[in-house]
Amino acid sequence: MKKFKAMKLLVLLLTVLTMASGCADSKTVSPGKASGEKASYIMGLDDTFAPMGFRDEKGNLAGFDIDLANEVAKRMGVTINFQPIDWTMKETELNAGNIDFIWNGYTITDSRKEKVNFSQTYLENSQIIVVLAGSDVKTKAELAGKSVAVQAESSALDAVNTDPDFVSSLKELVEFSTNNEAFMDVEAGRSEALVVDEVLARYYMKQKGQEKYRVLEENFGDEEYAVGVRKSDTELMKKLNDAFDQMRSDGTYEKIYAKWFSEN
Amino acid sequence: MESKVLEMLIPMTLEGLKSTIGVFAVTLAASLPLSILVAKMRMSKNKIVSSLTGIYIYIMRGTPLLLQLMFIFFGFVFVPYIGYAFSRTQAIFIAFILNYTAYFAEIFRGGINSIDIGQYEAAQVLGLSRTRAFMKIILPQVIKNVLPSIGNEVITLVKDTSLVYILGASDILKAAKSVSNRYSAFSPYIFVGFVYLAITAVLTRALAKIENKYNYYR
Amino acid sequence: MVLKVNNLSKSFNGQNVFEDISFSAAAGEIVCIRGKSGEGKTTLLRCINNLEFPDRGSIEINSLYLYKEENGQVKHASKSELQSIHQEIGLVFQNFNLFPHMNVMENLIEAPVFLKKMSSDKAKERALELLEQLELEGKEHSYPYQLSGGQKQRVAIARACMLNPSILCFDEPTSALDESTRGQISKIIRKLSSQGMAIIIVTHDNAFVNEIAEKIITLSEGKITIETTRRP
Repeated sequence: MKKFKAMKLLVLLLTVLTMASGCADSKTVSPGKASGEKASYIMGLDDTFAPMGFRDEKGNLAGFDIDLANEVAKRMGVTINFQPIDWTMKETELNAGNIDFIWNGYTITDSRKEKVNFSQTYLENSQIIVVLAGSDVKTKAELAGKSVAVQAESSALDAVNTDPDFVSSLKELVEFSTNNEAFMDVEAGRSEALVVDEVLARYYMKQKGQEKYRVLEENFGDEEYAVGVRKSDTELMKKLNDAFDQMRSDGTYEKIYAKWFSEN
Repeated sequence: MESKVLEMLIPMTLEGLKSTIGVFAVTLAASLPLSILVAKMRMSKNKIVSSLTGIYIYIMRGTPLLLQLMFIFFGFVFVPYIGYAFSRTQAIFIAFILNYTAYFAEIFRGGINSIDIGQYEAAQVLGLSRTRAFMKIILPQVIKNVLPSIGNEVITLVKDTSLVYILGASDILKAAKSVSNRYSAFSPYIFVGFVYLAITAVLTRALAKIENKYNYYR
Repeated sequence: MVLKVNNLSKSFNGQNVFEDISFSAAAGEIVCIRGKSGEGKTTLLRCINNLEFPDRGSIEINSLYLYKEENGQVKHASKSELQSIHQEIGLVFQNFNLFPHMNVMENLIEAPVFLKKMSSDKAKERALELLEQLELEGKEHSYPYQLSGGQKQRVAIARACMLNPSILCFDEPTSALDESTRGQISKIIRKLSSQGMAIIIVTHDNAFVNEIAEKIITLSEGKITIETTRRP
């Protein structure tokens, strides 16, 4: 009787262990090494970041960056595996060798240039200021004394911080882990405005209803999306840039762009 | 809730549930027995053993679990001599087991201390070995005493599993976040809140049943 | 003699509890150790039952040494010797220390079965026999919390008697009892002694001592005086 009980417990434990390790393993890819000669690479992404890389209706990865990466992989003759990461840990993940690319609407900034090497720009973007349609605010200056929301560790935050006078004029700059949360804070009326990547903002505003929001004419400057690679991976960087060049010249890039972004 | 949101949310939540329940069950199955051992080590007459165990418990209880997850996955590689690159799954299990073992060990230490010394003495004069006395006389009484506190930690563990996001793992909260960002809707978070409540309800009932089982004596 | 205590000394933190005391007990003899509280009579009983280490001297239980003094060093019995010694001596604690999570039967058979002295069936048989002798028929499935003080004490006696020890010790056996159950305990003690068990009782209850003792050991300021009351 007692033996039977112990056996049952053991079987249960083993089942749970295999289940747990199995399900976690399927999402885990082995850590990469710094080299230009591998057959597969790992791309780190925030898989909740629509429209660049996110989960589609079936839970599969989709997005502009995903399509782009798959096309690049084809041209480089390698496979690219996708590893979801927490966006705040991206440079740590890259430099620990857990991933080979940071590729997910990753904006070029000076502070990031110190930590990683950037590929050529593959998408132009700007950091815009979004308010609710009914807001009285029309300029940056009118945000003085008000709360502004922004995604933590994002290029939007970096862009805002280049203007310290603006930051100090605010009541507070509230950081959220996702842009969606920043949008929700504005909707709730706690924050007057949010600063956000234009590409992303257009996607969200489409989801939530264009008429609810207004974009200020002033912004925090134009910027560029690129792929982040370890500084030691020079060979890999060259191949990546070659692949981008090819895709631009043969029209593949245009096709993918048209699939994800409408021109209006 | 819109049906397209639900259509995406349900399969993703089920997928996330595997991680949530996996982390929960493995942590519990490993930490509970380990923590009894650690509690005994903490109470050891050997000063070195007890103070090393004390330092371990202090670190585990004195730092956030989130930080421990980050340290084990990102930082442990750089530790001289013993540094090792754990996989994401390994890092998650190690951090959770180490952390929960420390909490459970302190509960068990309190429970063991609460047993009257006369119980040990009675076992000794009857000629029982120390191991037998602990397993058959002390431990069953300790378990009855610590069940309410253990139950609290078990419920906390369910919610703590959401911390695996820092290593990119997908649990039910991450599933909600994915769907929320995809459709820019808040409702997935409410849905997942109810999933947590459902898990907690099941656990609360199970714990009450176990407590009841130990109520045959006073 | 089933119990021989020779030149036993014990101190706590440099404070003498008792010094250089010697006495013995024969099979079937009822020995009472009395003294004011704090005089160390419980410590003495705990030494005999291997719950406390003496500083000097020897204790011999049914020809087995629990402690032996060799070249000025007190030597403790080995693990295997201790197993044999524990079968020769039993102790009924002042608050009985029954195992609350086990029923009466489980309390009784735990040690004999673990020590492989009896099969589980044999042990149960012996337990039922003892319970009947101690007027506890039908209580084998009760848990300690369901029993009265006197019943708990008799379960503790039964538990200590399962392996039929040569010596049975009691710590303050009358402290938890009222007048009616007091008569019962002295009856039981006499019965056990008549079966050849040496009985060692630590108590401050002088009336009880006068009623039952065959040898009285009075502990005072670390020394003892011995008087024999009935048997030679």
